[in-house]
Amino acid sequence: MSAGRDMAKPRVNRFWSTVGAFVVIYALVKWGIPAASREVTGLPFPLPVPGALVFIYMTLAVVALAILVTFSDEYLNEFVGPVKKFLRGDYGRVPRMVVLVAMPLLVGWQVYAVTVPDVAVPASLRIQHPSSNFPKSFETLKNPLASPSDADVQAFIEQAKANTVAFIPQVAADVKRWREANAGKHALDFIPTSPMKKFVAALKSDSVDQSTAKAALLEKTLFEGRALYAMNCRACHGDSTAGDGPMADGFKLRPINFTDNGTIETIVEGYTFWRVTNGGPGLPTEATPWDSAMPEWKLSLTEEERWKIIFAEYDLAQKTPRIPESH
Amino acid sequence: MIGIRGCRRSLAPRAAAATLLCTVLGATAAWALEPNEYRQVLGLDSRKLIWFLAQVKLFFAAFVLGVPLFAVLIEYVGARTNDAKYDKLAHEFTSLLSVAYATTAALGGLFAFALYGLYPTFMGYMTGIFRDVMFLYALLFFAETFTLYLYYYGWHWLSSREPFSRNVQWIFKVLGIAALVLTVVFFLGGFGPQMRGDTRAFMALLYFLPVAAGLLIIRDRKGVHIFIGILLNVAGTAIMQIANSWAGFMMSPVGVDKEGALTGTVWQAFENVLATPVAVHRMLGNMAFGGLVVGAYAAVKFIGAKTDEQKAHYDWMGYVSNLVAISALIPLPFAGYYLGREVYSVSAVMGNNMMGGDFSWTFIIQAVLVGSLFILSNYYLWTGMTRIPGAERYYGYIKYILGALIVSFAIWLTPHNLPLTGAEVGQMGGGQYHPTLKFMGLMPAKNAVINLIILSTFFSFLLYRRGNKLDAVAISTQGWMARGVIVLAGAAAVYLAGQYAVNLFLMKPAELDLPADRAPYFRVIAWLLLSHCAASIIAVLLALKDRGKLAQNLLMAVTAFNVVLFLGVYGFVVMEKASPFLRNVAVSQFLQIIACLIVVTAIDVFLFRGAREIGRLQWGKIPVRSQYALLALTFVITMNMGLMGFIRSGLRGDWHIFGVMRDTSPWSYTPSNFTMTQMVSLSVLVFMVSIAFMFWLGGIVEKGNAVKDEAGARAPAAMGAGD
Repeated sequence: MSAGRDMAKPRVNRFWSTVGAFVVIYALVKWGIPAASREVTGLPFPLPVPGALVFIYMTLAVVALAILVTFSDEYLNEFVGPVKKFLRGDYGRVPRMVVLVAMPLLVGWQVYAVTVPDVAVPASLRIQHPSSNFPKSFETLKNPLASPSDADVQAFIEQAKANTVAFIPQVAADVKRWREANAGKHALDFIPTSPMKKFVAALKSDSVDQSTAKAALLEKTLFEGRALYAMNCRACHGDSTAGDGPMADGFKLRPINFTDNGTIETIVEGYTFWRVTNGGPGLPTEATPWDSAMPEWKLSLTEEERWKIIFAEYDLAQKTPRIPESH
Repeated sequence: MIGIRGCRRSLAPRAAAATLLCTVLGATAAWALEPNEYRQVLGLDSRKLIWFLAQVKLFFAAFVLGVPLFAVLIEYVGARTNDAKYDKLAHEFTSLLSVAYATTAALGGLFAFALYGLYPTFMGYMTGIFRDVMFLYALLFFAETFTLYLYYYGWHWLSSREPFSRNVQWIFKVLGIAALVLTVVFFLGGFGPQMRGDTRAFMALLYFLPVAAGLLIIRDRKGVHIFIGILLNVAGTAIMQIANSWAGFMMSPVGVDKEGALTGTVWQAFENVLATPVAVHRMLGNMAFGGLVVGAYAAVKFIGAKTDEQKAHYDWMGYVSNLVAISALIPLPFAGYYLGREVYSVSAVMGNNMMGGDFSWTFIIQAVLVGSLFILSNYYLWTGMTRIPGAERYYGYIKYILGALIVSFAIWLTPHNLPLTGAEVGQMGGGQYHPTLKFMGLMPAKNAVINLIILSTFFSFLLYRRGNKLDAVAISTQGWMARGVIVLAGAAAVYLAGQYAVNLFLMKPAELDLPADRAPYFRVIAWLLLSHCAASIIAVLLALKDRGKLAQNLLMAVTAFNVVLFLGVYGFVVMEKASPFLRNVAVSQFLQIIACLIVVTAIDVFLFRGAREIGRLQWGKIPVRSQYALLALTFVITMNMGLMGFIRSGLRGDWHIFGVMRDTSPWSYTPSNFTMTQMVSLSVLVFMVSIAFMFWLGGIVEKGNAVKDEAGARAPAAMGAGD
């Protein structure tokens, strides 16, 4: 290290550069990140860094600055020098008096502010996927409707050929009305998606193959799942499962956004099924205060209906369930 | 002194015998069929009692198993370089071990009695399944005891460097070659029961290979002594592997049906899914832990040192200890990732509980502790640079390394699911996640920053090493050995990254339940790995052309770009479009980092070998603050071990043996994090006080020896004066 170069370059004293760095980091955390977040997301909220994170980040900043100042005696002396001079009164007795009086008052005010009782809802640790009472029997469950057997597909083909495909009761009336208005059309034309159109066309030309039929069957399951989702879940979870349904604002915590990475795709299907089945009341005690408001859907939906909803939910969110790791 | 030694000699075999007795008694088959029975002693909570005993015993066991690993290595370095200071250091390490060993064995006995006494049904069942292995376990204690005492007390007896006769040397060589052949045959699956690849590799690398290497280096008595040290490690590792297999069986039972009846073989139960991942993780953890506990010893001695010689010695001892710990710490996160992945493979419930459920907040605590380990280790290295003449040239880098470490640490600590006040929820629009900070809580961000932490720590170490070196030495002048090692390192790096690239090129999206159009995401990572292979080859060629520094910079820059910048961002794309593939991305990051460390280290070893120095390293001239950093490191790693012990064991929830035997005791619930902190802190405190007491005892012995030596030295002089 060249002493000459150091002398030529005007330098801020290490004490003030450290204090300055601390202030800059605080400003970034307190105002910089929220401003950048608002700019990036365009959301009309203040988007502050939560207090718990501010504490963590500023603690790390203090640790980092302490490390930088203390790793060498030379640096430490340079840092402590102005403090010692100040305490000796070299910068004047009045400033020293002001600081020595102000510091305890400032600390006292902070302690008071932290400990004084208030009526705010306290911060709490939430558990993302509470599962201590998750039964082992659920963990290997796979959605039975996601991979229909050859026999199921064959039965579907037979029903389709006979135009006797049955829909779930929740949509049967709509399908019936539509068929009355569209006489001569196949019942499956009610689902106007390309796999279904392809299947119906194949039916008409009597050239149905297993894979086209399977795709159409999955399409029907998806359609029914979406319908059930719209009837039972949409109000809270929203059209796209983003947790932004019309009732979402009524909750202390909005329903979770399933399109967010790290939510439903980090869990196996069996867990999703268990959560839908047992709802908020089925959560273990440690889930509090997560306090899910979701009903116990096993009381009002059949097992097949719940699986259909889950099938549609993953599709709407454009996510895939976690695949169990192999040994 | 004799009393202490005698006590040490007698306690360990007694405790081992007690364990053996328990094993025999416990092997009564009828016990396994009884309904669960729980007992208490003195009205204490049996679970907490077992928890405490297990944890304290494990602290001691980790120390006793970790220290010989590097004591033997250091002794070997001393023997190779004929440098007595390494030999002295290895002996000092072993003297600490000798003191702690008896306590470990006694605690083991107490722990076994407590288990059999308080959980008789559970232990009866375990004994029923593992009775054969338990006998072997008890016998291995004898092997460890004998080898340890032979190693420690035979140090001076077996110190002669006078070569054995040619015939004797040949016998050992032939035996060594035979053992080496056996190692290769075993590794390739030539013999032994059917086993997982990781178990086979573990046994080949830690049992067969060291024995073969030990036999090959025997040329004199010192070689025999080193070989005994190797046998000590083999016995210790085997003991650990067996105990781990039981812990693994409790989490991932294999070879038994849902009612617990043995349907497979004892070997299958022994070699359950988690046995080896836990063993690998624990091996590295023990080494880091052993290194840091010894580092704490050196720090205390340094702080209390009266002379410059003592300061220099303990400063050096602390440095070596920290170096050992860092070497084990660097691969530890990968071993942890592997273990975590295997936990998921055993049970999605357990995995979910671990990362997203009850134990998710404990992983934030773990992130604090692991991050602190890396920060403190770096701090120690940086303070150490102040005693290296010329190292001030590199001070300028420190703030950037520190910046990278702290920003990485901050990201690593940021949870996806934030603790929020009611007001904060409102200010964020009522959602559960912060719209931008939430990304820091996800896997791609975490993987990127832990790799940056590792890379930064490695960079600190490189700066430390070249602190007082003037110029790099041309590799071409370092002989064929240097070129050979660098080429081999390059080949290893290319193999590591290349084989995985090929795997990814051949991988079908359907294997991960993904549609066929997601294949391009696999290809991107495969090409990235190939680019790393190319960088490794170029780095090797540059090093061979005497551009070693450029080679290192190039490879580290490519690695940092690939692993941290590119995959840190692209990981989110993968998560969005092909989430199940994210675990393969993590593997690719690990392979690139390891490949980089191998090549850069190999180059660095020769780049500065025999380089001109600005000045000699001034051992002992280090700020005393650094020693408190060493002490803090020991506390942090001990707390971390306690925490991880809680998590690993707690993951079973209300099962003694997951899915097979329920815990029907009054304590079959997951304790709160508050209880965890109390229990872990208590265990850490008891361990620290105990180990301090033992080190103090060791100090008395050392002082006694020093006084005797001094008296012995004076006596002839006095006699001479009288004459």
